[in-house]
Amino acid sequence: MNDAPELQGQDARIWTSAKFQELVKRRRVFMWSLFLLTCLLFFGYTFVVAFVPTLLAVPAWPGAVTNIGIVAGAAVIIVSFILTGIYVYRANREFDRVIREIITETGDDEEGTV
Amino acid sequence: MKKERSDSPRSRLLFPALLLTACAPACAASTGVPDTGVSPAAIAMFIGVVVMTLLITGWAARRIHSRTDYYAAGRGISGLQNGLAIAGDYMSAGGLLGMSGLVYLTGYDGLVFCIVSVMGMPVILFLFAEKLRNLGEYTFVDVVSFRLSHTPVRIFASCCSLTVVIVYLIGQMVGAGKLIQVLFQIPYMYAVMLVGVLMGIYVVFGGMLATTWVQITKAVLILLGVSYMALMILATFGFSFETLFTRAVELHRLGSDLMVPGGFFNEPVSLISFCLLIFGVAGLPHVLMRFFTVADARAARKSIFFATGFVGYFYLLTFILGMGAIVILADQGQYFDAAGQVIGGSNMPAIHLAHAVGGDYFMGFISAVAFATILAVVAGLTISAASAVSHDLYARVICKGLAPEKTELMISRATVIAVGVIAVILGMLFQYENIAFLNGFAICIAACTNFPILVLAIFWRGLTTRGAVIGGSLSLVLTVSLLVMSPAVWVNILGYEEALFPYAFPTIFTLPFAFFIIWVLSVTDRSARAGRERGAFNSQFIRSETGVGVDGVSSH
Repeated sequence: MNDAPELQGQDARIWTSAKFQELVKRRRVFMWSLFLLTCLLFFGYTFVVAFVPTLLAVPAWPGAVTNIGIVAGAAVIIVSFILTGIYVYRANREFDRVIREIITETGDDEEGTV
Repeated sequence: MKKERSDSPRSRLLFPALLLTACAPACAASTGVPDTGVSPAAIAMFIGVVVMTLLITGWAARRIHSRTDYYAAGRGISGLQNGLAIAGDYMSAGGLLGMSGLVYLTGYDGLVFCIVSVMGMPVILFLFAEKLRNLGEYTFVDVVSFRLSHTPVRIFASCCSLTVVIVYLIGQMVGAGKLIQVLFQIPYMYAVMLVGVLMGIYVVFGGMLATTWVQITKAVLILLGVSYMALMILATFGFSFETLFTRAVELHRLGSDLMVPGGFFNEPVSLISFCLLIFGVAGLPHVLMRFFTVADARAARKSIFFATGFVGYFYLLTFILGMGAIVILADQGQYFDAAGQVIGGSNMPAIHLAHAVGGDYFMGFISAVAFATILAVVAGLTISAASAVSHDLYARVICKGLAPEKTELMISRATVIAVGVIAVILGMLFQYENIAFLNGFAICIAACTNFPILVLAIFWRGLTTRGAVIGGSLSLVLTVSLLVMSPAVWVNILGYEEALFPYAFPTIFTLPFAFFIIWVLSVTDRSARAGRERGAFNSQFIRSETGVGVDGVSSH
């Protein structure tokens, strides 16, 4: 967009930094994939509940009262927790480090902090 | 059934206070509430919890010196602490009592409710957590208005916030009133007032700092209590889920249908509408506010990771509690009235279960914790309402950011008192609804207003003030209207024969509508202001990604 790109100082330097553009791309792909995965997991489960509930009534093992539905329900909660763990792990290790590098490299001109 | 309902709800609406005072002691007297009634143990635990929360408030009150202390606990909350506090917001009375009660009544459907309650958390993490912390100061409205025109956006977004908070409060107040009524045989009206007063004290004197620490304390207590109950249930069945489920299916009137979806979700539109509520869970103002109490984006991220774990664990156990209650309460006549109904209503199985597995003292403990839960959640809701009024409306709109700190805080505290009074009144009007559904109303409104606006403000360059304010308002009005026309309000409360809108939640229609209308009104906005707002996106984007310029981050 050519609408008033009035970035100044550190903002302008960050925007033009290849490292920043690359980080943003990488993080965006990572974040939206996890988001879509969570939605797929949840709405997939929901879809089964709404349209093929008989599938959930299948015993988890022969002769059991515990059925696929209970296992699937618990799995949705546990898997979504694992997904948040994966996100936080990578963000804290990789993305935070790159962001710190970008901020140091582009210089901290005090005006931005006011 | 309809004939029977058609006259009584109207009179209920006309004479709520009369009915309440007449009904409360009558219920208690007719059911007798055997030794579970006013046991000294329960009262001792209850007083213990109240004293503890007041001590926390006293401690916090001495540390509140500035706006940041009051609204954001001085940004000194750690990731784990904030995780517990966020989890505490979701482990509400609706969660502990309503959800386990639903599992008790409907089995598998209750589990679907539990899952929906958890799934909002990953959504918050992936979409909002870091960006909120990087862009906002005290409320999510700061984020929405970051590059948009402050006055209209703040007025509109605060209205959304306040609507959500007030509706959510209703569910909490109803839960509180019923709980105290059953446990201590205090009339519903006084019980609700007690909650209003205590919550007012926490928030007026202790601000967000007290609110957070009360919430953390309660989160730890509730996790311990629920873990103990689940452990006792599992021990009864030799740690075999299979045995537990087998017995539950044998005893429950639903039989093997207990283990499959049915009841609430026998129809796809309702189910999908309900499931879309996960986006509303991600748009609750009192939870979003918690991301401003931590030092930086990193801590914001960690807090939601911990919160997801705690809430997931809690709701899995809630399901076990509900199933356990089916079996354990079944052969104990003392928990049922003459008609075979659970004493105290559909929200009470968890409390009776606590008595069955842990005796008077443990039931006293769980009741006290459930009460603390309500207080903590209500306090969180109230401070978020107060900040919407004093920070977003007074300081930013009326004073254009030049409000004296003292006046702003005074207005905030006055709002707290006003919200308390409103909550008490609404709690009385709504006392006959299942509290899990009332929370659903609030979450539904959040899903159709706060959520789309926040997503578009953060991720979409094209969002303009016109799109956000007019589009968002249309969505708010539509959502609230459809909720009012839904069976829960139109038939059960207003007493009409048939609901104008047949589904419990309109999310499947209103959420896409919100995105669409905001999009249309934004892209057709050709004003100079809209151009500037799109242009300012780059700068907002840099800040949301890196945190440059955020207070608390630049110094390390």
